[in-house]
Amino acid sequence: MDILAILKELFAGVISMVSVDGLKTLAMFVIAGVLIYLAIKKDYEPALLLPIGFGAILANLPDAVVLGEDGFLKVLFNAGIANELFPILIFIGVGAMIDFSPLLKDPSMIFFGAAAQFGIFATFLVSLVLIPIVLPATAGDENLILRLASAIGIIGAADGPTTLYVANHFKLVEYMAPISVAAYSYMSLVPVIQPPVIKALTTKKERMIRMNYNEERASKLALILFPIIVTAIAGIIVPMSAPLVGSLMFGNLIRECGVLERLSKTAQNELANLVTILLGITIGGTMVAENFLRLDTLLIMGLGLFAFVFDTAGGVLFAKFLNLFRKEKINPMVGAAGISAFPMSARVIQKLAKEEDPYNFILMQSISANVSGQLGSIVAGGMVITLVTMMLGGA
Amino acid sequence: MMKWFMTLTEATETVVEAAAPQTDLTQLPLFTKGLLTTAMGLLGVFLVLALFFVTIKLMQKIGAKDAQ
Repeated sequence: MDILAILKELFAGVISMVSVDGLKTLAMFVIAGVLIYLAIKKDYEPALLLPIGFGAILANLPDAVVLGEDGFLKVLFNAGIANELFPILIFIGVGAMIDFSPLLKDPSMIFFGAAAQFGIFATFLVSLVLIPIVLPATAGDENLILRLASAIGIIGAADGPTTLYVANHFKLVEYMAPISVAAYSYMSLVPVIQPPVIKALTTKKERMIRMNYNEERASKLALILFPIIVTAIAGIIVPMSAPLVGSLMFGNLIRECGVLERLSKTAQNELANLVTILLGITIGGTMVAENFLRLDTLLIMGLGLFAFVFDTAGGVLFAKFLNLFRKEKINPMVGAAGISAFPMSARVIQKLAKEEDPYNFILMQSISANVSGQLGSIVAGGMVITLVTMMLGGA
Repeated sequence: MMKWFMTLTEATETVVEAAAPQTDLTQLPLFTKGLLTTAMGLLGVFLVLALFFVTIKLMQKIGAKDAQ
């Protein structure tokens, strides 16, 4: 082997950067840099965007050793995403963080968790029309169009684990990166996306509506029975939602039972943090240039935003509709908290309410709608999987 | 008792089969599939959450009785 060949072998990575593939790699580095910047500088979901950004850098290094047969990102993908384990584990942690007490005191808020799933289905329909037009390669492949439209629609659930769960269920591995990046980045952008939509659909007077709240905490028995009954109902009616509802409610039962405080704290902190790190870097690992720098990504990002906007609008308009019949009016902004994105959406609503009236406190109602949205998004995910699988003939 | 149960199960299956629509969902146009999924999906989400609502209301009533 002459010296030139040895040098070529040694510096293969550097040489590969001076090519079309090299430019794509640089573009991915810029995208990863933007995600890391948003995480550190803007504090947008740093726990997720930073690992995703770093995973993207690792995945786009020349030769991508981390994605090889025994590469650690490949191992993590197979161990946690391909078999849906990470979303399930995350939900145990999320369940342990949720206090259903406000919802148990005012159960009427639960319907906002359903109304705010409107965006999922609206986006699903729009995707069915747009996918064959924007991505001509998919035209004629109804199976792929339906599966992809489902996964794009579910971005509107504002719930990362559910989005991953649905995308993975429909074996959309090559679309996993843009779908998960859209889901997590829009979740972090809830404070930017929701306020203009809410303000466009409500008057100042409506935003100033005050709501009564009973401070009394729900009984311990109710808090213990709720996760068990919810799991049974959801599991019987929408079996496909059982893994997600089950893990969420298992985490919640650990929290509420009162005898597993150590496990509850572990689920809320160590488990959730550990899986978040692994989930983030593994998702980042799917952001390989050839899978990401495509028209599909733009379409998915655009439709994901559409889903978030329509979810917010669905919740607000549903609240306004209910106000037509109610004596005690609901602040329509609370409806917008029916998207999942727990607890960020509830905080955004409270902040908006305070902007209009510094003494208006609707945080607890917003949290009720927000945890309902968590339940609603999981049920919607299960419904979409069940129905689309039926439409595909059980494929 | 067992025989009666088996007869009941068979009768139920026959009724369900007879009542089942003959439409093959896979043969429907793409957008019709989408509309059906949307309508059934939204209905399903509202139905399940309505059941949660009823459950909470029942628990509230039981709690109130206990308190009394």
